Amino acid sequence: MPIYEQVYKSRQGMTAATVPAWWIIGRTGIRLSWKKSMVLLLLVSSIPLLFRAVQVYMATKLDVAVDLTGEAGAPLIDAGYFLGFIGGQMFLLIMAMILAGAGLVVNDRKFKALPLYFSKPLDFRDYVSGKFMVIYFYGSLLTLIPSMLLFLIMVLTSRDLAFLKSCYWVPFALIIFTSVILVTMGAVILAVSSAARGARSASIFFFVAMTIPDLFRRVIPGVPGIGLFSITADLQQVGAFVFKRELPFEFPAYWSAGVLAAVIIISYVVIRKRVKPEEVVT
Amino acid sequence: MSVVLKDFTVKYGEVTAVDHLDVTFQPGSTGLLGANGAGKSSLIKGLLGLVPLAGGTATLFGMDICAENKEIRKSIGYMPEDDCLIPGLSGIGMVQYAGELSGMTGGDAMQRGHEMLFLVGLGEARYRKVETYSRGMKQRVKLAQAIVHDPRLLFLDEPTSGMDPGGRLDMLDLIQHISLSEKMSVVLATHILADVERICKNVVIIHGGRLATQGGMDELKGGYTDAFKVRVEGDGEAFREWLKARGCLVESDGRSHFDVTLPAAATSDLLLEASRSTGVQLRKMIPSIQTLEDVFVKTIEKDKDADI
Repeated sequence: MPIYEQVYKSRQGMTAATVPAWWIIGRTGIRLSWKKSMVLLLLVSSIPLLFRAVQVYMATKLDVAVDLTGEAGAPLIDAGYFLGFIGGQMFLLIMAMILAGAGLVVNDRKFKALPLYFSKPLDFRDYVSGKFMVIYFYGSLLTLIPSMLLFLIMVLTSRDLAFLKSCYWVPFALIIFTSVILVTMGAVILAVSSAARGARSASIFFFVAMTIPDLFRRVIPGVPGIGLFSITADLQQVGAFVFKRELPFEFPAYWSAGVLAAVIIISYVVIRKRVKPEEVVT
Repeated sequence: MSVVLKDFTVKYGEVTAVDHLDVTFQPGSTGLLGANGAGKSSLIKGLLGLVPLAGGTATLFGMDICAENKEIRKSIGYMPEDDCLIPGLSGIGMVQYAGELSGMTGGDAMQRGHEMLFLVGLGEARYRKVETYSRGMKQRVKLAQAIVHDPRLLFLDEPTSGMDPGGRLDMLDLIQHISLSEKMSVVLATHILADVERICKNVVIIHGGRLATQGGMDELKGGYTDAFKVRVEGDGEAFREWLKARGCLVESDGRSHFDVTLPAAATSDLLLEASRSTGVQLRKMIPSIQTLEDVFVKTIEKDKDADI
């Protein structure tokens, strides 16, 4: 016990915060997810960024870069380059989702923290938005922020405005595409985390959901429309559409968008059902 | 504080936990008493909006709990019965987090978090992860997170549950100390009568989800002044049945000792008459000093009799 007598004192002269509850939940979640493994993953993810940054620099400053394209006069860096970069980050993104998101809801349920949250002035929307902020933050560190950085490097190192004139829309496409990826994956990892019994099983389930259907697609290439069942394939299809590239699969892009929308809605229903202040067993 | 419940009903599927309850909580410290499963926790959870209402209304500080739930919760502190923790946070981290979620700025929540953790006796352990806390420490940190924002109304659900005797007394001292705060009212839900008797000025007893009785502690204890401790020699069972038939509440140890509460209009002459009529000898007859336990047992028995 302290050496002086402790007495309960009312709060005096303290100001009311203007920060919304979801921001506080998100900020705390980000801090709690900032672990060694996450730092290591972010370091690993910076290697492709560095490689691409050098590539961009070479493309703009050195003639040899232009020769690498194999096509005289064809630009090395175009919209597809940025799409390719995000595509290359997909595996690391899945790992980041697992590290940051698998325990987000399941640990709160395991430690019965939900009644504590919902006895404060916040609601379901605040709680889920806060948890989603964690996903979005780490997801952005692997996709949106490095790709924007690459775009900026390209613009700043270009000899003229030709690239900017032809690709001015790319930042918007990056924002839209990374948002589609992060909302979809974020919804799935939160749903899995809500439904699972532990963070480990949530990780396994998410990894399986993200990789196995895509593996089937690759192993059985002849089946028409099989890519629709793969979330990563649907994301590729939507990405190609947003970046005005040739679609990688035979089905239309809006079918993929529909599948992704369905995945988000199902995930929302699962989260809504599982994230409750009290578990009522009847 | 003004907490008014009208026709307040909480159901879990087909099971009715709180059954059309009409009750008003007075300012100050109130003991919410009831046996396990009586509906105490459900009542608090219903008021906080943690479980949906099946019917009725409730107002806290004049605000409707359904329409203005978020606003109400800014002025409420809640210490749940279970080991509810925010995993990964230290003691100070959890209390600060709770303060911020309750509408405090980060700096204020941090400063007050330290004060509250010293108050509850966790000053030395405030940088440890909450998962590593013992049961008693978890109870203390739950109390600290409930009072960090200086609520007007504090709900404590079984605050001494699972604590060792020393820790229990410390916790009760702490709650008593907090309940003396003029600004804060305390509702203490428990089935441990001694805790309520020690701390609370008012008592609400619920049984089977319904209100059994309510009132001031002194008022309730004084409500049964015609209670006697009696020892008889002879046919104790006949003596007991005779008294019960005339509206007395009779408890016995199974042999010759009885606690008898007389009905409102009766006097101690009734005991003498019982002795005469059943042929037993009265060996002892002394007025009984009522404890909250007596009041509780009698209220519950009355309630059971009314059900029958």
